[in-house]
Amino acid sequence: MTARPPKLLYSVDDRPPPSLTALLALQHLIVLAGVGLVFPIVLAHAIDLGHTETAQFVALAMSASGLATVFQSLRTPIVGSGFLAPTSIGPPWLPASIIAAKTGGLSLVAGMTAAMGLLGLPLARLLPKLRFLFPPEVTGTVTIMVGVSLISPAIRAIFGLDLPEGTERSPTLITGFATLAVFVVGGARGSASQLRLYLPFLAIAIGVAVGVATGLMTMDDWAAVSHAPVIAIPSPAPWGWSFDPLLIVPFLVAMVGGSLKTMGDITACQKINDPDWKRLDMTSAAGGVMANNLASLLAGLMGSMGQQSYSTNIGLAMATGVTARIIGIACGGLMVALAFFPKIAMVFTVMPVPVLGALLIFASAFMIVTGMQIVTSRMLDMRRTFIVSLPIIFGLGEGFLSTFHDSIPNWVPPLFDSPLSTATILVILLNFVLRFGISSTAQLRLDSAEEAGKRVHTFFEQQGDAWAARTEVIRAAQICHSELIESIFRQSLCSSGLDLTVSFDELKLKSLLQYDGSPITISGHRPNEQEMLEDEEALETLATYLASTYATDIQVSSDTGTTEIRITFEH
Amino acid sequence: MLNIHNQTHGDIGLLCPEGRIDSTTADDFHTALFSALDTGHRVVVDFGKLQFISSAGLRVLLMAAKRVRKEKTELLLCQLDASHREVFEISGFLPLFTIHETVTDALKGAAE
Repeated sequence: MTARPPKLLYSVDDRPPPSLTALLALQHLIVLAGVGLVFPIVLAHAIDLGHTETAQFVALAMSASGLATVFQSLRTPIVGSGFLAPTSIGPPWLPASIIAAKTGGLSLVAGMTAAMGLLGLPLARLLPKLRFLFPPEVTGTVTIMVGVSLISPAIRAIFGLDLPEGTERSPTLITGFATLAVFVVGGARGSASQLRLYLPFLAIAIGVAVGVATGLMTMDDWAAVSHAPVIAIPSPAPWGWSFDPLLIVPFLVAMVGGSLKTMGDITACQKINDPDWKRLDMTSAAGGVMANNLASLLAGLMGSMGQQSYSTNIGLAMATGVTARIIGIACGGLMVALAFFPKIAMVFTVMPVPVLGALLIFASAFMIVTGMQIVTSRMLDMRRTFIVSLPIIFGLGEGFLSTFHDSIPNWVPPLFDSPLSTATILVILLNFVLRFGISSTAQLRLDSAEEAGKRVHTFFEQQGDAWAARTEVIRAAQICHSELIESIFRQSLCSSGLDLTVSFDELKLKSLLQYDGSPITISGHRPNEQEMLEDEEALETLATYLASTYATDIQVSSDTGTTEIRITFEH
Repeated sequence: MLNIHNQTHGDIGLLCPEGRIDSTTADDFHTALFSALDTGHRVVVDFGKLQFISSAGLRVLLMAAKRVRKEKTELLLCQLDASHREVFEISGFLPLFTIHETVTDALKGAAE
């Protein structure tokens, strides 16, 4: 790890004072619980689980989330990203878990979650190498559809659609929309302050107060809290485990979605903690995904739901200027400890349903907009327009039309059972299939120094757009090649122009510069002011130093009068 | 391609290079910058419309910086985007220049 970034008071490996560590651990826990613990409660409501069992389910979720947060903070060769990236029940797991709970109860949720966590362990090592399968158009589309998949439970909860016939709906509507108003008003007013980080918890508090005022929360709810034991050991896997091969696809989608989200969050953590960040540290990213999936495996074995890291907490770490991973260990430990106090789990359990609905709308809104931002982070040509739009159209079609299933021939495997599964499978398939036929190499001939720099810039700009390469990588390639080519012409090293061949995949941008003439010397030394002013050679030293700084690797070779420069940029 | 717009604000020269300063245009930039310095003016270079500056352009700025130190005048830079700043930082040039966010700030700084 490099020097502490100036904006941070305590960086990833620092040890803040114990009192500050405890305070920040509690802050992270509040932010994490405000959203992460909502999903098991929504699931419990979907299958009409009783108060006691729901509280047990929540306590198990707290234990699993606590362990997951500790795993994520570790920095071992295999498990842990080594960053403060608090982890809890992830939104992508909710749609699949609701299907499982309705068809086979909580045992099927636990069994499928454990199985996918296990399957996710080897994937953690492979995922960074399979990045070409998950460009922004794929991850963005999946994120949008995770948000879309939360709409149905959110709307059912906030409008009280599952209430028995003839029930007065006004208290539900008032409570739900009052909670939603806290998000909207608080979010608009506090967008630049720390207020937005605590919005979920603030909304729960106000929602519960309105629920009490409207009579939605009854004495029975408070009695459930007061009757819950003060201390009890959460009994793991009280409902056992079961497995249904028909649910592999939706759970696989959830696991891949959660893993991709965690990989994105670990990338953000790396950037925050390293001001000189240039490219993804694969060991840390794979360790983060491994921690995620190991936590999902354990969560399943304990009887809970799948896990993912939370970017809201990463935002909190940035806002407080403290990214020390020891806080993750403290936060996780605290969460596990609180699972031993059933009254706390019961407080979450008796939360009014419309409050949950408002929280789900909040989560859904952010996922949809985040997904859109990811998708539009690269230029959308016709190919990518179809890769993004067709899965969304068919995914929404699956959700809108109840007869969608009947229209699918029997010979098609039963993969398209939810909008999220349909969209995820289609976007991965389309991206993979439509990759073929795209020219992944391009060439440019430069006969003279005249306009060479401008032509190189335009060439990389056009190819970057065509390949949807990251802007910062294309800019690095432009600067590196401009400096090298200028230096070659300035030193008259080439006798008859240069040939530039560039190839691209999702992992690397590689180029080959060929010319007839003497090899260029690449400098690893930055000339100082005096050298620059007094030594004519220093300009070439600076040019090649800049080129080598912007590239990941430069190799120069020369054979029978032909020089080849191979340049690599990590993407 | 490089176009250099030259203005004066009182006794301050304002140079606005537009396009690219590289090997092929560094001499034009050198001529414009040193002509502005020849008049004894304090000079502001506005990077707002500059697309790219290579090491050849950086060297011209360094030579100008040496001259203003010797003649006890002033050379200020403004409107550097993140990409320009990064090149300056990697080259070790950032501490050698007074850099302002806006043209107004730079002109005010030069007037003090």
